[in-house]
Amino acid sequence: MRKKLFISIIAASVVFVSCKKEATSWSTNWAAPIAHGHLTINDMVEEDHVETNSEGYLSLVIHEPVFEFSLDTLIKLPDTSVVEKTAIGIPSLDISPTYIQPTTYDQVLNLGEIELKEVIIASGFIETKLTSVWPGKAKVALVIPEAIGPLGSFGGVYYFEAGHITETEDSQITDMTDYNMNLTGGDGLSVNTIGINVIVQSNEETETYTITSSDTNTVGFSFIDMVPKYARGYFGQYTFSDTTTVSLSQLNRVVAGSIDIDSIDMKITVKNGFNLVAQSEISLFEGTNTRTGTTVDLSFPDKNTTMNIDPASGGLYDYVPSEYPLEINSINSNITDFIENLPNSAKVGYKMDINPFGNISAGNDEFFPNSKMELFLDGEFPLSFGANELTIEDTIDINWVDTGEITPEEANVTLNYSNGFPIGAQATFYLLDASNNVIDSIVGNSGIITGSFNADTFETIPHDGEISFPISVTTFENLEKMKRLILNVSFTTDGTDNIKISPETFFDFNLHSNLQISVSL
Amino acid sequence: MKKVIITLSLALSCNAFSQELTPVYEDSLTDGSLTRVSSFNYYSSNAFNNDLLDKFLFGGAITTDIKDQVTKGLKRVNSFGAEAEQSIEHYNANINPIGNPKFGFTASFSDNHFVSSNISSDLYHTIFYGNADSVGDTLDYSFSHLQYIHYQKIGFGVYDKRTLSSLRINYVSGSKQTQGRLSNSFMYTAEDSIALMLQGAGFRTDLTSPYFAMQGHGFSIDLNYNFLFETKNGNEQIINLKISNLGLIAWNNETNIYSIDSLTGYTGFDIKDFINQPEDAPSKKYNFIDTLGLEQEKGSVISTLPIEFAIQKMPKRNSDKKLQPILGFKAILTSDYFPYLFGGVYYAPTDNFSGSTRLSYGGFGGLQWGLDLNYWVKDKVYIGLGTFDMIGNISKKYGFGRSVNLSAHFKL
Repeated sequence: MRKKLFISIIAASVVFVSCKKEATSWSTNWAAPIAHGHLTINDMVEEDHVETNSEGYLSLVIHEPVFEFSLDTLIKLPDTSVVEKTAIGIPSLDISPTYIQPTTYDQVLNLGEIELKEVIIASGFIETKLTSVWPGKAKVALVIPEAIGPLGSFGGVYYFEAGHITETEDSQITDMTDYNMNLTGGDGLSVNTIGINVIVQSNEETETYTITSSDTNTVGFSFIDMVPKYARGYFGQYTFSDTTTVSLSQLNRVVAGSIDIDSIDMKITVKNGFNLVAQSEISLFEGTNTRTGTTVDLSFPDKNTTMNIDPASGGLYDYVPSEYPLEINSINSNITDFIENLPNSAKVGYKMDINPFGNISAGNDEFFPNSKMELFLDGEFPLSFGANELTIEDTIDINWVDTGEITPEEANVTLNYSNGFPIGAQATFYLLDASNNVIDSIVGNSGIITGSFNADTFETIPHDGEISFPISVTTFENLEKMKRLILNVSFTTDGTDNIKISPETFFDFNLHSNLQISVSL
Repeated sequence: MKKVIITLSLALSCNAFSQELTPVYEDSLTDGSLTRVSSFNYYSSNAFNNDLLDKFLFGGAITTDIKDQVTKGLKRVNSFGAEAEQSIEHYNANINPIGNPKFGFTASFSDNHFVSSNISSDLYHTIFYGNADSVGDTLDYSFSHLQYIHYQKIGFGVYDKRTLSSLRINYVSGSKQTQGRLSNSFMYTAEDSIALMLQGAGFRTDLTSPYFAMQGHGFSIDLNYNFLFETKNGNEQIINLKISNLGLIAWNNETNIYSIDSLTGYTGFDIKDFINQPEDAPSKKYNFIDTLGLEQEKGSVISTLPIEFAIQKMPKRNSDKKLQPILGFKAILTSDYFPYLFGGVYYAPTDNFSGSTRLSYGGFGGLQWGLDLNYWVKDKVYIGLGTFDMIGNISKKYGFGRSVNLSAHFKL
């Protein structure tokens, strides 16, 4: 609506105009602020990942899992359909209204090496489907007495009309969430076995009818998407081993320069959330900087050592994972060399054995709700480092916005700053066309000058400066053609020694422009 | 295309007019009828010369020289105004609408555009130069104003057969109107911030087309009184008093009504609103216009027409004096219009031909020089051509507007 108002005002201003040979245009110069900010390290890194260390300067800290896996893909109840046929073993039999035929049988699940004794279902369904061909009315009670849910044992009663010519069918689907299923069968000693009771009887009130040995009824049930949240048994013997390459894509943006780090202190903890014995071994951990072609093999005390991972302790609702810590620091490893190499690719070789000694728990391995095997990283990276023209480059896709009646002609963008970081920077913007050719660049008349670092107090005296970024008519024309923008920033720390970042470090800036624009109506 | 045809038809069919050349008092109309077709058009400014105005009319680049030249002539009030009236009037002595044989019947139709504006010097500077050379200064936009109204009038009334004095009551059809006025408003630019104070109100009718949009209805009264008297020397004199557009228009309830009263500070984006924020964070969405606090609502609006008041000494045709003085005063009740004074001479070398010239000051413009030429054909047909701003018509640099008036009368 405001646009309409504007158009109306303009229309009123030129009310006598019937047609113009060309647009009315003029140039104006505008001074306008663009952006401002007061940045501290907490604005660049999440607050939880920064803390003041014992020496009074800042460290980056990490407390988070870096790798984890669960056994729920191994311990699962596959979708299974089972049909049990029942018939009498004599040529014929008269079925009176009081006739009852109880049957008990064990249904064995095929779970491969896994021998389960007990599961609690997180989610899934059992569909039961029973048929009868008896010539009279029949009633079948199906019960799995050791599958106990919130309302009692799993089971149901199914009613059939006379089905001498056409079999009659009754089916039900039951939500098995939170059902506790004992899989030791009718004798209590088996594994992967469901004990099932079936009672077949006449449902006639007065009449007696005759069945023959060829009258075969069926009892069938299907497991659908059954996922356990707890399992007990023997989970089998497995070995996972791999050599995998991990891309450290953030470091791909480093295109030049070097970094010097004082120290790093890391602890990688292997946490076992299962009640079973495991062993693990890290055989390879190397980082490669593909830009320089340099590879550094990380060495640390437990490398190539078989680590025995104890079972978790506690029970279903109070289990406590066992922990196996790996200490990696500047003293017992070459971690600083590893990081200073600025690897953009890491290759990790590992092996993990589940139940390496077989069924030593006597079938009492346990999988707890949400339990997992994980590598948890506690790392401290003191912000004490030196950077020498460490250059980071990022590419941004740009969609130029049509400015309509307003056309930018020239601009001078000015950055006023107070740099309290002991780090200087030089920034250049490269404009790329659709073919990724550099068609122009925007560069300031100077870089951001580093603050002056005091190695005794860790304090930095801020440097106040101003940088101008002139943007010509040609550059504006190229901005319209631009499809991508490369931001290239080169960082260098103050002095020759490593600097430290104190908690008070800040960067204040104010970015404003003097923009010449052409208005065309 | 339809609009163009309508516009051209009006312009061509009314390609003369009567509000007014330097009007010449002819004779009584006691019998028959008189039809006047008139076209009265001008735009004028006391600050913006034709170099600048022509760029808006005909296009082209407004150079720094043009802007600077205008800047030198800016005043406390920088008016720009325009009127365009195409009209047809009919006087019939054979119809006596009020039963009195002294009075005849008159009817008229006119299509009117009216623009009145005042642009403060600092607003002109902001529009044409920007604010880059005003860092540390306050640019004052107070009392800037724009009014544009387009309407048609259909009037009926009576006239005095002896003096041609008339009184008409008009139905007014409002086509469209845009109006806005700033009160205490300014912009202060610092190196790292801009403060914008805006107080004002206005409205805009909903439709910008068709040409006869009929978005409002109203009425007006036009009074035209000729006072005839003789001097001690026996010379007959005519004083004309005219009050026009005494009325109003009620615009429909789809009219957009605006008001604003806000002080907005802009310091650029705070980088913290962008870094470490989710992609859809509210802080990432910023619209400067929204922060201005422009209030808008729909509703009906009643606005007065631009009331005109004029008094002038008219020359008399067929006077025994070939040279007659002319002088007068005109006012339009809008804040941008200064009292308009004029004086000049009327010269009639023959019975069928006359001319006049005059100097004027005020209105939307400054000092102006006008010329009129009149020609009669056997007392049945009159054709007049004139301008109130000859300098504006011929000079871009020294002219501050343009004016063209045409008129034709037909006696039957």
